[in-house]
Amino acid sequence: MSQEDQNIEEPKEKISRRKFLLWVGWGSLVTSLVGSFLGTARFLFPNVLFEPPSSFKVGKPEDYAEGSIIFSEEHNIFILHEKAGFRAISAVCTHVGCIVNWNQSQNKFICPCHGSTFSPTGEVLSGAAIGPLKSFSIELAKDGKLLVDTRKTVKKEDYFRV
Amino acid sequence: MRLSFLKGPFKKISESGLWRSIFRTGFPDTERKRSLFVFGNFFLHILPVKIRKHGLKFRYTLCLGGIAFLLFLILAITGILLMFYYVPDVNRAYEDMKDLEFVVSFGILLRNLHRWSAHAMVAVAFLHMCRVFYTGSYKPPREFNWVIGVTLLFLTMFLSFTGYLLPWDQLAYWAVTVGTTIAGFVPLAGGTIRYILLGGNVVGQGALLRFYSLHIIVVPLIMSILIAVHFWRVRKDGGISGPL
Repeated sequence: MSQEDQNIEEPKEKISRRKFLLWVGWGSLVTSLVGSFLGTARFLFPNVLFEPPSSFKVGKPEDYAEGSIIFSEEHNIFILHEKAGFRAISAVCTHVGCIVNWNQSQNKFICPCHGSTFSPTGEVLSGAAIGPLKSFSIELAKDGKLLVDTRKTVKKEDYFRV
Repeated sequence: MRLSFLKGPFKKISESGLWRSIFRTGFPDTERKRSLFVFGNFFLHILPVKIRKHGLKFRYTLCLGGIAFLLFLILAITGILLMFYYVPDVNRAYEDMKDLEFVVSFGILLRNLHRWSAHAMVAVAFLHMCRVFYTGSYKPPREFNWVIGVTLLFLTMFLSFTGYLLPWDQLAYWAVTVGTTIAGFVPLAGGTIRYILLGGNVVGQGALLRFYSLHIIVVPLIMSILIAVHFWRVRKDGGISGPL
């Protein structure tokens, strides 16, 4: 036996033709099934939404007298004008999404669905809700109108000053 | 037998080539032929060839499972008829529903048949579950059929929920707003579930169309298959359960 012959290593496990084709067959079947499943799942998530815009103008600062709380039915928000400045408070109850009402005599927001109550700054006073009403960022647009952006929330001590 | 005079002509028909091509078994005058007649008929095969005497007792089952299935059939038929007049468009849905009530002949009857049957089906499915529980019919070998039954109850409720949005009135809108907000509280996946269910972030056209599709085809189809398995398993698990 020559030196050369000893150096040739036999493959430890030879993949048979049958096994190879099985792997190819099952592999492509599983890949195509997983692919179509993922594609179908992705299909269910719309990319373009025909929904109300997330930022909108709510009129000029002068439209809101100091000390007033004005409800906008179109955008489901309350515009508060206090001494410290403006606030845009979401009217959507943090419990299960009903629209809260402002009660002037009790000086609080009351949800008609399950009776949650909120302070004028949106803090929970009582009821089913556990989180405060959201406060949205306000900016002054170039045309001098208040621009509310519902994608950005602000803390309860943040007021917008003109 | 008083009707024995019919035996002659019926025997003649039942042995004709046409009859035999459809029903295979001839005149069912023996036990074996009677069994084969039921086995070999698509519409009858769901019925047991033989039944225990107690299984016929009204007070044992109260017919609740059968009533639930009957309501499902009523809902399927009236639902298909309602689809001929209802368009799941946010600008039309409410008016179409009102038209069904006040303009379409017998529309109010069909809508209310659909509505009340839907309410009744939830109640009857629940009561059927109580009956199964109190008679111990969930015990082996019927434990898996109980699981299918629970799934059917949940699907019934989901059909109620998806159907609730379709009139597109205040009740529908807020019920689904509340319902999908609750779905949004599911840990981790909540937001995704809500988005996929509504087809967006608010209850709008996307939500109406998705709920409609789920209500008219997706859930009824899954339910039909599960109902078939449910009935089949009643037979395979030894027929209706015996008295305790």
